[in-house]
Amino acid sequence: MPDSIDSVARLRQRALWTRRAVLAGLALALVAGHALWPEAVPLTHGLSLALGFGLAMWWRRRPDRVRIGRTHRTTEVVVQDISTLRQAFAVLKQQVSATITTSETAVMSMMERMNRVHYRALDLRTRVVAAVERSHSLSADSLSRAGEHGVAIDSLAVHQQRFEEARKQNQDRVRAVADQVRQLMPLAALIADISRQTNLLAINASIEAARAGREGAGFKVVAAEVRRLSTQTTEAARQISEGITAAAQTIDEQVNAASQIDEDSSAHQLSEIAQHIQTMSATLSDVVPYLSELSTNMDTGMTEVTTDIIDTLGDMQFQDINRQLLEQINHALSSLSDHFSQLYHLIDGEAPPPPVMLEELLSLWTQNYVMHSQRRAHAQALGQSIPEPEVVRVPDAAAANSAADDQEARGLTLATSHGPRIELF
Amino acid sequence: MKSVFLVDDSATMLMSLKGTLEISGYKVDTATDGEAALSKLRGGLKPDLIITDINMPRMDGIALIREARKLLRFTPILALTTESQQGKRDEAKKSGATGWLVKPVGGAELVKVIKQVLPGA
Repeated sequence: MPDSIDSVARLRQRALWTRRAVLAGLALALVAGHALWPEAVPLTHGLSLALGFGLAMWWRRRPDRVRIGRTHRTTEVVVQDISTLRQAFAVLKQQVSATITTSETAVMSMMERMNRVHYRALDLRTRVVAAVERSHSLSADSLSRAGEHGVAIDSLAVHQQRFEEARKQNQDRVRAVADQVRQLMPLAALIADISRQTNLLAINASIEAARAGREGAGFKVVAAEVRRLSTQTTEAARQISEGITAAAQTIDEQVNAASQIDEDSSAHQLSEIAQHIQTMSATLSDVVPYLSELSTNMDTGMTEVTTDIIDTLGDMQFQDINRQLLEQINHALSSLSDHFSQLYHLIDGEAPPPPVMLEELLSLWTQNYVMHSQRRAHAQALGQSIPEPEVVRVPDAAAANSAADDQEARGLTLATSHGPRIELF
Repeated sequence: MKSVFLVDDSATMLMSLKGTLEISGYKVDTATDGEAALSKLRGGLKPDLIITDINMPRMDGIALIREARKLLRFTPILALTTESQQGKRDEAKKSGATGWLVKPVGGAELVKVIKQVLPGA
């Protein structure tokens, strides 16, 4: 203890001066005795005595000087260290403050990020829900349109069927015309035969006209005209025959071409389109429940994300608790710093002793504790015991307390020394 | 939408609680000490619920509860604090607090407590 060291040094110094005073007094008494009774008290005795005591005191003083020197050096070291202790406390306080600031900044940043995550997820959910609703609407609209198209296609198919039937009837009628035209061919042959017979008759007539002589001259002219007519008739019969053949061929070609077209008829194409529309409708019908499921899954996922975010935000309260713990440590460091500063001034002899001893200061710290964990740590450090908290369940807050069990399991619960964690009055 | 007035000198606590309550569908106002909170209440703020810390600078939570109770007779006021002393708890109750919650309080359990003191919230 520095004050004890100082007191011992002062006592030793006082004893030294006392001894010096006694020796000086004794020497003066011997000198005075020699002056009064020169025979009884020789001067040499007094001088010898004074010299002897002086030498003895000199030897006695030497170790004291060494001891006092050591004491002074110790005091200087202690004083210097106590003086530096303030700076050490200041450094520790700064470190604690920096820790508080750092953790607070980090936690705030984490919470901002969590909030951003929440709002981005919320925005995403809104977009997905809107997309699902839009897709749902489009699907329903497409299904409706597909239905309408199906009906239209069916109607067209019926119409086309009727058209095809009419076209086939026309085709049959044309074939019948072609057949009727072909049936004219024998007439041409008959005409040709008549023409040949007529020609033979004309030849016979010419022969008979020649045989008749002058009287048959007129008849000869008629016979010539008949032959000429016969020749023309033959030519006409040939042309009629060729015309009938060409007409029948043309009609056949047209009918055949129409039959070829029949194979790629629009009715067939319409049927294919109708089938495609039916397939598309079936696909859209599958999409609608898929979109509904997607929407439901999205809602479930969002609920889970939100719960996690809320729990994480709650967990971040540890920073506030740590802050209060560290602030209390800072407060204790400040009081220690003040205490040792007062000790420093006491050693210097510039100030009275501190108002409280360190032991009392330690117990004063407990007045600033607000948490059970602070009181427990204090008691454990001093080897004292502290009653463990009793968590009481309150009926009104039973639900909330049961929810708190999850947190207790995660080791986050601050047990209280008095009463439950959650109490509704 | 129900409104909650949060009073705490810790920016971390305010952010944590504000985030939790806004996500849960509450409108949130904040103040960083009792005096600032009282000033807002005197300025006409009428929240459906007040949640206040106890140990705060300038004006502590107990004093705030006492003064707020004069302005808002039926508004529930919850103390949310690290303070574990029974004496402080009793004092808060006497001043008009509706409940006492010791930090940390998880988001889900806080919302449950709010629903208990704010029926229909």
